Amino acid sequence: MNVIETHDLGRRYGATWALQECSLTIPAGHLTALVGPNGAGKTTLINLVIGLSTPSAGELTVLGDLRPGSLPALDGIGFVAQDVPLYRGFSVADMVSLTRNLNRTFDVDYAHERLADLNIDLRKRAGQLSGGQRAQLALTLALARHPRLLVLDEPTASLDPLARHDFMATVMAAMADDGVSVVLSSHLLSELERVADHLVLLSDGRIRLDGPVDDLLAEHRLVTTRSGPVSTHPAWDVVESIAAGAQTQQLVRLRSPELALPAGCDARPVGIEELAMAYLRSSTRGVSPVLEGAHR
Amino acid sequence: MTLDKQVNGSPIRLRLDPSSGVPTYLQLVQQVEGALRLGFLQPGDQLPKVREVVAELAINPNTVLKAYRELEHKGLASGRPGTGTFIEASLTPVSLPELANLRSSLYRWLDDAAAAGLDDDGVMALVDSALRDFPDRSSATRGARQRRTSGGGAA
Amino acid sequence: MTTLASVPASAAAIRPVPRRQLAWVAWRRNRATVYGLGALLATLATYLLVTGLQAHAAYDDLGSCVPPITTDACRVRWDAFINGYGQRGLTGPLLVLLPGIVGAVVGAPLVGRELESGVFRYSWTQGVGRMRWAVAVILPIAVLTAALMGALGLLVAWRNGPLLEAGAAQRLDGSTFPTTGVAVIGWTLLALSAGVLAGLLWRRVVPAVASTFAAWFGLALLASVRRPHLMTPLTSMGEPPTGSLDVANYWTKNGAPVSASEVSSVLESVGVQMRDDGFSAHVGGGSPAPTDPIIYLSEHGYIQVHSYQPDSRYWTFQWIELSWLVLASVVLLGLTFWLIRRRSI
Repeated sequence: MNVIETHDLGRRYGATWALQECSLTIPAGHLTALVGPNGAGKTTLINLVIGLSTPSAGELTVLGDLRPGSLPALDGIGFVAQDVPLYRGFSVADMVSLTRNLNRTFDVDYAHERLADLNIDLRKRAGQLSGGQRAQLALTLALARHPRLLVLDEPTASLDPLARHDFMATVMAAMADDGVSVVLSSHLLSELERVADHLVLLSDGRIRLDGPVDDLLAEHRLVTTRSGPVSTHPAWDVVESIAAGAQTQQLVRLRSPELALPAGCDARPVGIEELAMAYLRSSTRGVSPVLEGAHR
Repeated sequence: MTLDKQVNGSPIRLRLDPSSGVPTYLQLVQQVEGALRLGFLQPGDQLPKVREVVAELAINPNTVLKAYRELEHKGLASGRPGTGTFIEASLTPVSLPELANLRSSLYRWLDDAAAAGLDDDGVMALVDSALRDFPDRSSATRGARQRRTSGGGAA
Repeated sequence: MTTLASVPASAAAIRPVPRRQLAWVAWRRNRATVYGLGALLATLATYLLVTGLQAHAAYDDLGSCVPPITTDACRVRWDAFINGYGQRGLTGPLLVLLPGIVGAVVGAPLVGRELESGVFRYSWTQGVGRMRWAVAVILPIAVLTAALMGALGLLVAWRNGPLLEAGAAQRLDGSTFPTTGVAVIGWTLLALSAGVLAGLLWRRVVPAVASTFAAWFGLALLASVRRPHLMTPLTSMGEPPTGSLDVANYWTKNGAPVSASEVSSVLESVGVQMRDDGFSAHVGGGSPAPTDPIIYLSEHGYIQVHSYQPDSRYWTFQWIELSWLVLASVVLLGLTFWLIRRRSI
């Protein structure tokens, strides 16, 4: 099942397209990282997926064949928004009861167990919790619904490293226990390698890179040559070139994974963080064209 | 990797070094192999449950599964559905005479390197690069040599 | 096993969230409002009860000294009663404005606060969906608020009882009519519905409350001007019955209307000046001024005609007013729900 499937999806505000020509297929069972600078379209895409927004162009289905915002879709998707919205005046216990009463299925025991593990006092008001506790509360409420898809919009942006680690540990444990798929929008490239096994890179409202992390890493190499930068080459497409003295380093995408690299060519694999950075840099410079997903 | 004195569960606990530059799944594989080599893991021991690793290290469960699959592929472990992943083979540690031989051939190689003008950092860089390429070239022979049936104890 | 097993998608019919659960949501979400409203109305009710009991007791004390007043002693006691209980001071205008204030303050935050604080990102993504959420959060509190205001209206009517009985006040009067009966329910509902819509449109509470109240006030003014003309007024020669609402009056002679200036000159010839608020005796010049200018005019063939709405039409007017107020409220709420459904951020 594909948790998200889009075809030429777009969202326009007035004359500006916040997202355009977005065609994605995100399979279930993975953690997909949505990466890109501010204003890239990450939140726009997320709002479309969870049904708070409707498309201006194109199509979008979630959880197989469901329409976003429809009752079955709302039922199967858990969401934690940026800045973690909650009713600040409600006690933690009230938030649990409220979420229970706003949903068809809700695992109250799980919620209470998690909150006890986290030492979050049920009687405290949500507004009195620390940032990390609030984020964990919101996550607990979302996970207690046992959703099939969990969507997180930069939920750890304002958390300290320890709180962030605990938050992600909870998410991962839910993936292991429940099989829930996760879509996580994030600034933090350094976390990518540990948590993401699927990547969607956005910039200026367009998809720049999309595919399973393993496939993407297999398709890219950092090539060092003594000759000058070669803009076209039969074996690869150049993503980014950096001249360093007599050497030129080029991040390239192999046209075919089986193609043998030319002799005398020093090529090494790249890490996902390095890869993402290169695409982000090149797309802001307007060099990189829109790329399709990994070879399938 | 640390030793865990628990009676139930796995004898080892996996760790992560986020700044090492080594891919996560590979770190896990290397830790298990290291434990095997040092005798902390014996055939029949259980590897940590995916859920535990994930909850402690905050890494993607698919990464842990990938590491365990790699160990299965190398013949070192096998997964039993519903129960967990268990060690199937051992890695014989290198014996002392063998170590001595390897050391002396290494001294000879280092002499050659010094004569060619390679300094310490150059030696490390070359060794690193060769190690990275090496598995691709001879995984078949290494696999055959490492595979032992259970019962081969650590020294 | 290549990836984690995931639960297969199922678009099969999903049972809706039980009403009982939504009832809890409706209560908890509006709990503070109910407490606040209860405290406010309880305070007002206590005040009305106390002053009402005093008024009733004082009225009973008057005995037979109620209009038409015949003796001077009774006139003194009647004037004392009117001075004590006839003026309502600030309470009168407050009671007229109260439905607008309450409706706007209760209605505007229902959706407005949700949007302003951003918490709709939580509540509109829960399994119940935004429509049923809106119904739970808006409708029960709307009904309760309107009902409470209606109950307060009963208390207001009871308190006004003595004055109405004595003919010193009219139920149809613009400062009384919208505060009692079923009209007060309608005015509350209208302000509340307008408040909810305003909150949705402004996405902020304070401008929504202000604009709602301003619009409601304008409409209330308009209604009070138009109300006397809802049905064709009756006419009477001479004074209309007690409790009637005066719509207009003019003088006639021999069946034909005469101008006010003609009446004025007739009176001035005997030393009486006609003013807007009555007549004033003008001492001096010829024969002594007649004691009652109206009797003088009627002796000389002048008849004052009144057009009025009788007190018996009170309930008819009430139901007419309620009808269009409820209709307007339903339209506003319908528009609100439609806009919530369509909202795309």
